[in-house]
Amino acid sequence: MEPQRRRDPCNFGTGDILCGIETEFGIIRKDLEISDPVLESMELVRAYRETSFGIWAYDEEDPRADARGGRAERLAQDEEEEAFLQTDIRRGFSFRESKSDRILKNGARFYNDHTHPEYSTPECLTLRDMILFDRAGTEILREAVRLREAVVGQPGILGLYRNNTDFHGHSYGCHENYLLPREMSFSEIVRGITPFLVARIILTGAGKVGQEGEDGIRSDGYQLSQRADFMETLTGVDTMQRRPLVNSRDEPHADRERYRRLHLICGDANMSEWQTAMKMGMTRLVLASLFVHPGKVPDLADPVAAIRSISRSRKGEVAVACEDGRMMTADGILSLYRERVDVVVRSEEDRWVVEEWDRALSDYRADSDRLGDRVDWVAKESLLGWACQEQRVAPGDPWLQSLDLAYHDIDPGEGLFWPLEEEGSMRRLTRPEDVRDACEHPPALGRAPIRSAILSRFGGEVREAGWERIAFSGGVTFDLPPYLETDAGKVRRLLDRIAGMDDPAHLEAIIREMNKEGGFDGANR
Amino acid sequence: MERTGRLGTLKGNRLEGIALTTPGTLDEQDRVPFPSKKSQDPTAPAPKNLDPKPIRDRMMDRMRKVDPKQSERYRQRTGE
Repeated sequence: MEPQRRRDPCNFGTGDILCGIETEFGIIRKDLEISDPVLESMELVRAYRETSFGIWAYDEEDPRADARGGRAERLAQDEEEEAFLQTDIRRGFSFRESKSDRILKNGARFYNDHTHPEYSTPECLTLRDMILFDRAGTEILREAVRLREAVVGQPGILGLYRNNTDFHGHSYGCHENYLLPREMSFSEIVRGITPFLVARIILTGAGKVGQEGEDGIRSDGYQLSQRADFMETLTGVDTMQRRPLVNSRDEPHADRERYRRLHLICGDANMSEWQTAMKMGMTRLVLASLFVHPGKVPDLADPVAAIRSISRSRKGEVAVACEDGRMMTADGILSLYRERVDVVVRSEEDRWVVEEWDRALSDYRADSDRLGDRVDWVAKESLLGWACQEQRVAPGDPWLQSLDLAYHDIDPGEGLFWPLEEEGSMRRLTRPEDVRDACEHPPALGRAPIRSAILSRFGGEVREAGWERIAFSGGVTFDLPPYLETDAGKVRRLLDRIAGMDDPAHLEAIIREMNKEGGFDGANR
Repeated sequence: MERTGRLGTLKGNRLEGIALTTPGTLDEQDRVPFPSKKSQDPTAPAPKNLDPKPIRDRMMDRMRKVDPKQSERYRQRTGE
């Protein structure tokens, strides 16, 4: 359905796009020949029990709702999921026990999703928050590992990996979420953003040894992206099979009359903070520019083939076909988008993103090795090169995929990424003291701090909670709109009021009262 | 846009000890969101970020400890 009326785009910018990242981690027991990922993932999350609140509102979720219209009867993964569920039930785990959901003090969600520990950041309105709360997730996973190993009584037995593949054809995701005005139609978004998503992997790829996907599994070769092999179609509601470049799940976690959530599943899980910042920063700018100036972008003839082709080509330098017959390289496509986003550059963060975007494209064109201090696929390729030189390993040697895996190990004593960052060979954007804060405290803006304050104040009276709603055991329900326009001062005053409350039934009245001053009706511009 | 620094500790029975700080807000002296590098001359030689011998030696030490068979044993279920 096309948009009926586009709100005034003059003031629309990245600051109006709430965003978040969900990361599924790989998990193994290093001391066992065969791990039970269900048990390990579940127990890891449950080890974090004492520091969080946990009754998730599953009725907010509807992964079959399709932004292209209607609701999918079945998802491609249903059969496999049902088999897993039956197995888990036979082992004595209920659905809720298996999920083991936790809402953390910082507003994040931490749970067992499809046998992977998943950390979903709280909703963020600034890029700086986005990176801080994503990095906090890694620290929280490390702490969960420590707690779980203490329960077992054996330090060093768990391996956690921030990557997207097991090299045997099984992938797991790092999903991006962007809350957009509903009047942006889904078809308009797909058409506008697809070439960008295909091309951005030259700056956002995590690098992978080998090849997977429907065209076979190989252990030799090197490519830019971990996820490109697993993209099979342009759009679709599935996320575990027939994966789409642009997921059409219509689950806004907010008022669906006003918002839609763009749920992207095609991105890699990055170790580099710069890449996570640029992945989210560039994408928010592109989305804002599509809203403000929905002009023509080059349509790719076959976007799925194009992302694989770029990922598997040397340095991503191959040209891909456009529908109009032109051949374009990824850096050429990114340059076109870079020019388009100028109209929505408003904040310091926006300026940082476009400056880094320009610099990265310039470096890429001069010599992609220049990106080795920012980009995982470049840094990882250098490490593999050293290993090949010194150990004389042949292409396809399993050690190379093991090194690839080790690059993503979140253990600071074993992962290959961490010494690079520690020595300054890879750029770090966050300060450790800020990350520590972000493990314990929510962002200052949006609805995350309000949710956290309510759970802290009334945790014992909460029946269940989710992204957009908190239900109290007494029957009261409190909706959490995105609060996009609310500034930190107003949020702080509300938190003060919540801290002094005796009865959650008064929440709505307080919001109404404060809204007389403006800024608490959840309205967007 | 209103700029804020650290928020204070919330008082109250249930929030005791929980400080709702603002890790993401920019301090007055820290307006640039992230550290930034000056533009490089595109004709200059590529920086050898990973070349210095100490980091190379350290990384080789760590890489030699990686079990070559680790990736073959590493099996996950399909996620989202």
